[in-house]
Amino acid sequence: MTIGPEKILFQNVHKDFQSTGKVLRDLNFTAESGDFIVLLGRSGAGKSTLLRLLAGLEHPTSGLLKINLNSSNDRGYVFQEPHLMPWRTLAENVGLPLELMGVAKKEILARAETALKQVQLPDAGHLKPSELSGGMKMRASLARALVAEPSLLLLDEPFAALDEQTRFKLSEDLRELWFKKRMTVVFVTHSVQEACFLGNRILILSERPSVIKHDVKINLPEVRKMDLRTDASFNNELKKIYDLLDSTQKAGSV
Amino acid sequence: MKNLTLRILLPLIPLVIIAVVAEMLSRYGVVAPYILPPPSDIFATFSTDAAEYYSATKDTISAALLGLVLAGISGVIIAILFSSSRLIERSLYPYATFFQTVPIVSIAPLLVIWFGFGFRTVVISSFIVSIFPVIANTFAGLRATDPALLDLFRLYGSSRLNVLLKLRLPQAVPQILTGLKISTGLAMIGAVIGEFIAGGGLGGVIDASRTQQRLDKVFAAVLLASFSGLLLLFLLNLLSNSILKTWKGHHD
Repeated sequence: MTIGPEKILFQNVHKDFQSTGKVLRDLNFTAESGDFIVLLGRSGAGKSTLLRLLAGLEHPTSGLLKINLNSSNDRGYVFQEPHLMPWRTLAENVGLPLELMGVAKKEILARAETALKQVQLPDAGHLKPSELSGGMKMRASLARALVAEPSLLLLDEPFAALDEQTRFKLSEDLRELWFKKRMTVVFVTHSVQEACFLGNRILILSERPSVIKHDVKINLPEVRKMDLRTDASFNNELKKIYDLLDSTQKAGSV
Repeated sequence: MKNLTLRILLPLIPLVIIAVVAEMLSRYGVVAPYILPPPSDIFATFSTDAAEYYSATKDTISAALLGLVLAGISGVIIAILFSSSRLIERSLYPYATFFQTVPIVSIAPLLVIWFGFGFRTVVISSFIVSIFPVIANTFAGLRATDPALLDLFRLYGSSRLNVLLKLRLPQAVPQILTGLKISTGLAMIGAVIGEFIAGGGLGGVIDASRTQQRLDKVFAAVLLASFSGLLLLFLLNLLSNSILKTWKGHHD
């Protein structure tokens, strides 16, 4: 493997579960600090498992997994659903990571407000989750992952349950957040559109037991806005990925 | 508004019909008054024995309420213990179901022997009958914690105490309230049965009036006991709704 300031290192990583058998098989890849990586694959391809390995919520069955973190609380995680606590206000929800880390109450509230501002939810700190739309809840969930300013942000199909317009807007905002803050992002999705729009680099996973079939660089500008979606360059990248998926499937069916 | 009036009036119609029929049955000698006293006699005792009923109702409600509060507090604590360790749960939960299955009438005499006649025994009887729903519902609520949120707490290295205080318990609040609501009716039953044996309150009035063949007084006390139960349930619903409103914000 390369020597350098890589953020993530997977070396011959396998992951088996007693209940479902082999999920990940011989995973090898590195990621540079500040990269935006998308894990693309079908449902059940082990994408979530890979993300949970990165979160430290699961451990490899064998192989080496190294993540360069500043502290054990240096990871943010966004789930498929917002998973906010209904009895807490938004500010209290967003501040939860800091609360668990033992940060002083006053500082928690101030930083929660800042995080809410970053996800375009200023002045919403006093609201309860039941008073928000689905998109706003997901924004709050994103703010909760960002509040401790992690250097590694992990997202597990966070926008899958939202309507298309909300999804597009949130993708655009997430990309802009990354551009400003330059944390390392690993984003799981089964949507090729989403993968191309968001990622600097796409890892295509095969069917289970999953291996990384392709490692593709996306040649699009750093700053990506809504109008990119109708641009020819975006279509070219889409086609590139669709072709690869096609070949992956054919190879898989042989 | 019209709807609300109907909802209050409609259930009253069968009551009035039953009262009129019962009145006629005993007035015309079809049923002897010592089997079924005329409703007018029952209502008359409310005013002639008002002071006795007032203090009896107060005692019964106090005993039921105290039993319920104790059951609520200990039920939640027991459920927390069960949820904190499989070992404790496996070895003790079967005994918790004892509270659900024991016929309180059969152990009430024992309670009198152990705790004497009077208020204390009545409270204990009410407590025994009403604790199980609190344990069962709280336990289910503590168990039904959102796994994603558990992951989140793990991600930030949370202690088990924090998981309990900041996640499991608050998430179980709606189920704890459901348990308490089920227990409210039971607490009332437990108190009245306790009073049969240990004396005092509406249960004591029922028992004494029965031996004096004063069925009008028995019926009056039974009605008061039912209304007291309804009152407790109504109050608990108010409390529960206001807690749930703050729990989940103003929208449904």
